[in-house]
Amino acid sequence: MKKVDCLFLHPTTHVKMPHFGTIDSLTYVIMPMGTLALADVLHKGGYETKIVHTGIEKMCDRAFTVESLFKVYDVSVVAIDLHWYVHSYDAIRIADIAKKFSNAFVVLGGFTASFFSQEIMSQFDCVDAIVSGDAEISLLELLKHFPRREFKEVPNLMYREETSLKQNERRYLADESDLDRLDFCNFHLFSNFDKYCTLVSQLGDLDPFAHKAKLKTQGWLCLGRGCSMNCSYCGGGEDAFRILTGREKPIYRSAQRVVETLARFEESKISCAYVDFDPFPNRREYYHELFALIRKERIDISAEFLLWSISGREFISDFRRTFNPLYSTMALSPESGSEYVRKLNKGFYYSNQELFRWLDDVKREIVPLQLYFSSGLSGETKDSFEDTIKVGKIAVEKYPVVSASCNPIELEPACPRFLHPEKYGIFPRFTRFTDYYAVFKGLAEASPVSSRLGYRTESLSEPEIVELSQRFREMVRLTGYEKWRKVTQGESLRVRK
Amino acid sequence: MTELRLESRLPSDLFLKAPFIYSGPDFLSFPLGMISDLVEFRGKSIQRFCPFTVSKSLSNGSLKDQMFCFAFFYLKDSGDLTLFLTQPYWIDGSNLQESFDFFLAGVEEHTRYAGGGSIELEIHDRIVPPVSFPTSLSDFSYDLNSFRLQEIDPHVLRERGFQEARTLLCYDSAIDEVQRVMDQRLGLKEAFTAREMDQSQFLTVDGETREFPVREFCLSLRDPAVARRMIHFFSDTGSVAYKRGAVFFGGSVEGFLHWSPDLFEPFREKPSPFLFLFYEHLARYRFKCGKIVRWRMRRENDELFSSMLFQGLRSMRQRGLERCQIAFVDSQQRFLNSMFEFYGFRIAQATRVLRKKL
Repeated sequence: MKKVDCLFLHPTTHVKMPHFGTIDSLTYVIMPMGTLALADVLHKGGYETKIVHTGIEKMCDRAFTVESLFKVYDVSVVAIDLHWYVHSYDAIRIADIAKKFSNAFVVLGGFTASFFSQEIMSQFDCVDAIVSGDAEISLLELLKHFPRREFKEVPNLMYREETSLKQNERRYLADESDLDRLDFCNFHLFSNFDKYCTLVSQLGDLDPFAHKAKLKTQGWLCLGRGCSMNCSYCGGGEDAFRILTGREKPIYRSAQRVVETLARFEESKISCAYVDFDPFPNRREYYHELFALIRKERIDISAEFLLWSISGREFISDFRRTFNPLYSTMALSPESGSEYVRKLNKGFYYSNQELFRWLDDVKREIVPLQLYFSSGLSGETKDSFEDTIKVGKIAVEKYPVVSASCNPIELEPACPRFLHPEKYGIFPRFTRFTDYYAVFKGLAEASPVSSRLGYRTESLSEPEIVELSQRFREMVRLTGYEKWRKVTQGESLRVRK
Repeated sequence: MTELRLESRLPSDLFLKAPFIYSGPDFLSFPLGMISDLVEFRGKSIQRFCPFTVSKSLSNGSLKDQMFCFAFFYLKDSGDLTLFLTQPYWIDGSNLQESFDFFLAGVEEHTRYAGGGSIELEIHDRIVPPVSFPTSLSDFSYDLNSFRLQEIDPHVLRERGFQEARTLLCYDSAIDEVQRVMDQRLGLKEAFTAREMDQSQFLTVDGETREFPVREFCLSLRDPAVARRMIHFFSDTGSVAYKRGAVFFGGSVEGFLHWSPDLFEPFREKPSPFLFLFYEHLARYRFKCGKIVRWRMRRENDELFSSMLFQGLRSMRQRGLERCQIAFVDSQQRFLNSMFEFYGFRIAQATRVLRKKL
């Protein structure tokens, strides 16, 4: 058996389809991008390290089991990311398998594990420790002290000692220089990385478009950590970061290091970089500096850029000049068409007039657009949701929108609505880790779940919230279909006389 | 130790090295990194599009792309499934033969696996710019004015079992010059009358004229995705010809012509492979060149041809265009080739289609 000091396992959410026999659907497959950096830190520290994405392995070999890994590898530490709550069940399931089939020490990390560390450690014996917050130094120290099982010097760690739980006082919080030392591109540590780049779509499912011809390969680009705002539904806002990691304000990687990452993406034939970090929409100097450096270094790559708020035309123009247009898109999440609801829920507010002015600019700059809307926002009613449908229809009809989606908001741990449900007018059904665990266990076993979203609002029940999103999709899809029918049949397009 | 691999992907640097426009189905999904259209064959649904990339994995773990080829399946009139390959673009020309042989072996296996019986290959072997959009029998048109596609030695193809099936020509001329020749001809419009056609008639006339014996080359009339490929996009760019006097009495259509403005012109100003997404930008654009991409006649008749061409040129002229091109002319169509020569057209592009039976 090959000795592995630390085996990173990414859990993929399994959803059993009751109508399709025993075939599971694999979903929520994007791996936290920091996993690669963590693995590299250990690798450079002299430890034998490997990342296995259980969904990708299953995709490549339907007979793959987590158990089988422990027949091939003699593993000292198993590190499982429990960042997103959607992995609540599968992370624990994998931890349990690791305990049953090996002597490995099992450690969890990520936002969800950090937020519920006490409860997880109390409820699940298969978890030996949890790293809360930034984990680079913690994991390195854990590996260092592992042979003697002396963990009291490991920062951010909660662990078992005999029958009691210990939470170390020592804290580690990465600063910008720490971030700059990380390498997010040590791809050879990641089993079947090339499949991950090709098959994983941002929509969350593993190859949800199996029937489509794949054109692009995607990499996830780290620009920094943190946020400056608190959107009501987001578990990664300013307050959540403070609670989970101790971070008071966002930090950035240097433009030089980001460009080095992009150069490595280019070498590895990643054609599109996914960028989702924009914590100061009113101060985007960082991006102008970054874009200038990308152009100077002649990095040839597309970018899918998620703006956290609207921008000036100059930013769009700079984006267009910088990235290869082949797969470059801009994405924005207005969430609601109602200005009242948007103001109540989004940290980064803009009016509909400002939104449409921005859409005009994007159209003039010939950049394809993706728009995201939601149902179930605080203060939303069936009537105000009509504004969302209206804005969605106008956007699809008049602008180069390649994707306009609407999904029911789920209750994320540590988001303002989770922390202060009364203030946001919601009635939560998920309050503990085991609530999340139970719902995803139910999905994995095709058994009924009591709640999928984890709340209802003052005005809307859970089925009504789900139905509103469905209605948006139907109405907006119809508008899009009619628009493109007219375009492709020439009704909208006259050659200028 | 290096190893070649064949993957489904389209490298982003291809677009900068060899700019192209994609005008086929599902173009909204293109920027999201995928496209789709299905071919139904023997009870199976087969993905039509195959964006093939051959790459070499180097000892340091990085990949070096060797070549790209946009390919698609279609059903021939006989019902057989064929894989059509656009001309490959060599991203790295250092090892052409090894890459090409590896590529051919891979696509043959892929075609057989899908149940296909043959492979066809499009080779552009004569380019005299300007060549306007579209430049390919596929929905994937390279801007052949802006770079040079690497040549493929015909012997290499013959050795690998490819046989020449046909050569297609694209003719080009200044509109003024053609009109000058037309003005000198007497009795031009006596027997036929041609007029602009609105978009509502388009699909009907396209269907009615599909099996006319004198027409642009089309890979298949059986496979609707190929027979009705693209370029419905611009209104008022079609002309229909009737026998004189028959137009008001329900007379049958004698000829049909449809042109597309040269999308490479706005493309060069703001490059985007899926220009139709920004259709309003196209509608405002002042084009210089138009290409007749559909032309059909009930019979070989120089008066019918002249009257259709006259109407087509007038429609282009009214929209400020200066050059006209006519695409997908089979080199074996003697009547048409002589007509084009008569009107002073020159050959701007010659494309060979080669076939290999599996």
